[in-house]
Amino acid sequence: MKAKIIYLLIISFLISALIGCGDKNEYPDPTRKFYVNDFADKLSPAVESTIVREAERLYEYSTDEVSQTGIQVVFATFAVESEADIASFYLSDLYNQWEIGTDDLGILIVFYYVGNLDDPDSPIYTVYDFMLGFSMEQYVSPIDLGNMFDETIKLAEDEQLGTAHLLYEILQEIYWEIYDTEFTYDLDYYANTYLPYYDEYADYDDIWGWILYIILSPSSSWWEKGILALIGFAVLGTGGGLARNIGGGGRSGGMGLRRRK
Amino acid sequence: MKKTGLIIIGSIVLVFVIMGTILISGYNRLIEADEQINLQYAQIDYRLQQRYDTLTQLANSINGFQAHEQAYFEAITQAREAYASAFSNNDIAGMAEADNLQSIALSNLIAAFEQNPELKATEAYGDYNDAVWGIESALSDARRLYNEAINEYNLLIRKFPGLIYAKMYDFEQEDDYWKVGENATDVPDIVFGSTGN
Repeated sequence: MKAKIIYLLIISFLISALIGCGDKNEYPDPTRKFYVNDFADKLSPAVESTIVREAERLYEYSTDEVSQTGIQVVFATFAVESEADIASFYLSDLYNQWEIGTDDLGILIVFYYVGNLDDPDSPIYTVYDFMLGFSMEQYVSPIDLGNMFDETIKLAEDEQLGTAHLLYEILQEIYWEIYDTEFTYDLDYYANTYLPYYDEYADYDDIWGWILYIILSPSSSWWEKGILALIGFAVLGTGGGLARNIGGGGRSGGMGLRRRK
Repeated sequence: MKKTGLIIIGSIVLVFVIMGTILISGYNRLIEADEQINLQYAQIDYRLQQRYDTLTQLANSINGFQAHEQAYFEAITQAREAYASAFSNNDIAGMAEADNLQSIALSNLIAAFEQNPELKATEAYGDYNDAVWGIESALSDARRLYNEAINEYNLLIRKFPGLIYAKMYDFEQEDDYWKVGENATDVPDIVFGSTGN
């Protein structure tokens, strides 16, 4: 009798655990970098690195402030066959799944690349979607986003530079609107020095990020990967990652902007 | 004998505890589903008010409205008044209808703007379009989430064991989906600066 009760309890526990384990997420989880999720594989490593570094810096800055906490700016790219596929994306659901920004202070920027996915040479055009967190609506409006788009991506001949320019403009707006702080950047330096001479190895200030980069990089040799993996686990443990922060629990009410180029 | 009695009493207490927990959790699920509807309803109301305020503010900044554009804008104002009246009577169908009328008037207004090259060339026109896209996107989202909340609630009280709790605690089926015309649920397709498509 006792054995039967224990057996029933174990079965009930397993069933309830299995039910609880069901993955209800409709969209892919964010990547380890969190601030940049290049699912379409269109962004250059230099731009990805810039996004992660600057978004991380903003987050750290905002968590130091007492009044506002945890602002997150997140980029994502998706490759789709047609605009009908975009219509099936509920961007606010993606925002809410990734929980961008603490206290709903976040911005999600998504680039959709529309074209034949089997043929890389097929004509591809891009649709740009912006989604604001509930609280971010007080500081950044769709009109602001539209103006930023017009001054950056729309004018840019080089999409990588245009993306970085857009990021800098968004940061400038956030720092100014929320903290009354001026954020400056040198786009000429970025275009002429940073982008063409980008050094992936030198870019990691996080030691684990650098080690992971070498281990995963196709250009590093097997002995490099092996030695670094051993040293990494032995000396540093398993902690760390490419982005130090993940979603802050933020939600969006669907306010945003869509543009095409 | 004493031990058997204790086991029986213990079993009865256990059954009551389990039943109580099930009833409480069932009741709480109904309350949560019901409150979700109220939350999403409040969200639609907030977005509709925001839409009207934004459109009025921006329309005042656009100079050079022609007579037919002015007529469409007045239709938006009338729809807003109809909404306020339906809201005061808690008439969801009337509110959705007024929302629908406002969306149609807005679409007509945007189409009229497209035909007015002088207006189209102004910066205010671009701002207006961005603001409209933003608010319509948020409103479309609020309608969707409201209808999803209604659907979830209805499924909960019609499926077993929810129907037992619903009868026990007097919860009724909610029929007030936010029904608007097919076109009214779409975010206006405003494209400028387009080189593709």
